[in-house]
Amino acid sequence: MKKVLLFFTGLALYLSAPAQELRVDTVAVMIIDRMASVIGDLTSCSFTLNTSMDVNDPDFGQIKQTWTDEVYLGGPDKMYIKTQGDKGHRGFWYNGWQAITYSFDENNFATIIAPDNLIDMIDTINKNYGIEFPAADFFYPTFTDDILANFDTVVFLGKKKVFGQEYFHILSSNPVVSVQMWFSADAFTLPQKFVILYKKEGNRQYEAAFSNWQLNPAIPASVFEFTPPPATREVSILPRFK
Amino acid sequence: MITRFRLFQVTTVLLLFAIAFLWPLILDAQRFSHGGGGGGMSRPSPSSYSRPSSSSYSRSSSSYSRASSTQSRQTPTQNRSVSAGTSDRTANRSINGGNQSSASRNKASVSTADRKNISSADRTNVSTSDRTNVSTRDRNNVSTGDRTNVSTRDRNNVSTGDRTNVSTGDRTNVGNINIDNSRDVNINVDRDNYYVRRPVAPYPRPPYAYGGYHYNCFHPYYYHPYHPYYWGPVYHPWGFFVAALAVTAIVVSVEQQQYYYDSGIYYIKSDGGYTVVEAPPGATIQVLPEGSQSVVVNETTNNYYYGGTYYEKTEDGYTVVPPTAGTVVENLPEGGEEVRIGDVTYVKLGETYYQPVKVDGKDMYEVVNVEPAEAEK
Repeated sequence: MKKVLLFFTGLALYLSAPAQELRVDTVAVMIIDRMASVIGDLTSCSFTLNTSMDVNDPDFGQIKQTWTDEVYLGGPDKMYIKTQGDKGHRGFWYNGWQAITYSFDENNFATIIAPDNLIDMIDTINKNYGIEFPAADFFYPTFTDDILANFDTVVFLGKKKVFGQEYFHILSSNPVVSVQMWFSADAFTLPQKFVILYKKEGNRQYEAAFSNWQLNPAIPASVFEFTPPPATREVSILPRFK
Repeated sequence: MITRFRLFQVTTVLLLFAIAFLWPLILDAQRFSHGGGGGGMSRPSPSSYSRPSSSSYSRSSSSYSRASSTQSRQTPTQNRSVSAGTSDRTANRSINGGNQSSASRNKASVSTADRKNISSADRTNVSTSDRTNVSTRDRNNVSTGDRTNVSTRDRNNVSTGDRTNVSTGDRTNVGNINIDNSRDVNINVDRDNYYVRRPVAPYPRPPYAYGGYHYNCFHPYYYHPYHPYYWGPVYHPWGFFVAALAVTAIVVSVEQQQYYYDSGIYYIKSDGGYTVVEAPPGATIQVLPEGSQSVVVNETTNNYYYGGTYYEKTEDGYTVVPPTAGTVVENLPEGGEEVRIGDVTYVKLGETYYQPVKVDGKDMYEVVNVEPAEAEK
């Protein structure tokens, strides 16, 4: 019987041992929660996102690609994004039931029937078509919980001053990737910049900076409706999965 | 002396004790897999924190992770009035339905002792069949305002069919609008021989990857709009119906299937007449159709190209062959469909993908080599 007792106890203790050290600062969680609350109360917003990303070019090695997104979000079911830069000149319109992706460079567009809200639309279209949405993570209603669920370390690195503006600097990290975020140290606590380092890819870097935040602007509904330009062509779009 | 009943009691207690420690192991793994878009996200029950046992974070662009689609999405229990249901999101006019946080998250302190290893064995694939219909296959004309300037054209049904050299799965096109289904190019035809041959020379660059397939070309992508080439009044696109054939038509048999050939066009018998089909590989003719062009396949091989059909000179004449990846042609016939695959817009003609390229200043098309990603490992 003693042997049985020891076996069970030993097994239970072995299985309960945490695999890695964890560190979560409550201040960091509070700041992220604050930002998420502000975002969650917005009925519309717009911002500009300037992004740069390291890519491996087969001919030239590692280079940085840059592009700019102008993002307009209206209510729970409207979006317009205009992208310019190394990713080409593109537009994306979503009006609550269909999403249209238009290439200014090729003057063609593709239409996708979409769910009736932004979050599900982003999930579905990214999964099925690989279309990227700038900084969409920050707009997910469960952003803070997701951070806590996916990162071993979430720490507050202090209040930093850049060009006369103060920001809360937060680091979240796990063995694969680290994400640094800067939030404005004011009443709104909006995200201002984030940097992602891919640790297992030679610290390949993705960096994006927000600017021109507009909170609850009155955006006309026509902004979210696509009007085909002259001589444009409609093309099919292939999903990634059957 | 210890009775059996006493031993049973002790064993039961120890078993329950062990289960209490083992229980978190079987919770679903979580992934920070949304954002920038991304697959479904599995959420823990609010009563526990669970951590993935292996680092599972990946990001391609503006999303945090999208490494795989093997998460199940569960509706979290909420401590706010707004739930994660889609109908509730639209009822609440905020952008995302309001911030949601786990009810059990103690915002004052987070104990690290409660985090456990979890097993990823119970991950289930996200089912896309339950999602709001994103297939546009059955949609009628989309009303997006004045469409008088949109260049539309009748589209033949060029989708479906197995790709025998890449996989056995269907790659049904979705997103087709205004499909003219009156012309079915796939009727009553054995499609086992329709495939693209691999080139002899290796590709100098890694392939373009999308949706589990690799797409490769020798020339870089250079988009130009698809304009079907007009081969003359005798040319008919695949799916075209005629009531009667010209007297010059001959019979060509390929693998016990009878075709009718006239001036570069192949027909099969259909109700009340004849329907144009894709040229069957193996069919041999004596004289090339007028307007045929010589195209380079590789250093030692040329093909003769007419209306989407490729011929090789043989002892018996000119034999239809499947297109070879890397072949560059100047014109494509009617019946092609522009398909956006990720960042690239190809023209799909039957089972063949053509990439718009520029060669010596001229707009051309190169036959794309398409292979499932697993086949290249």
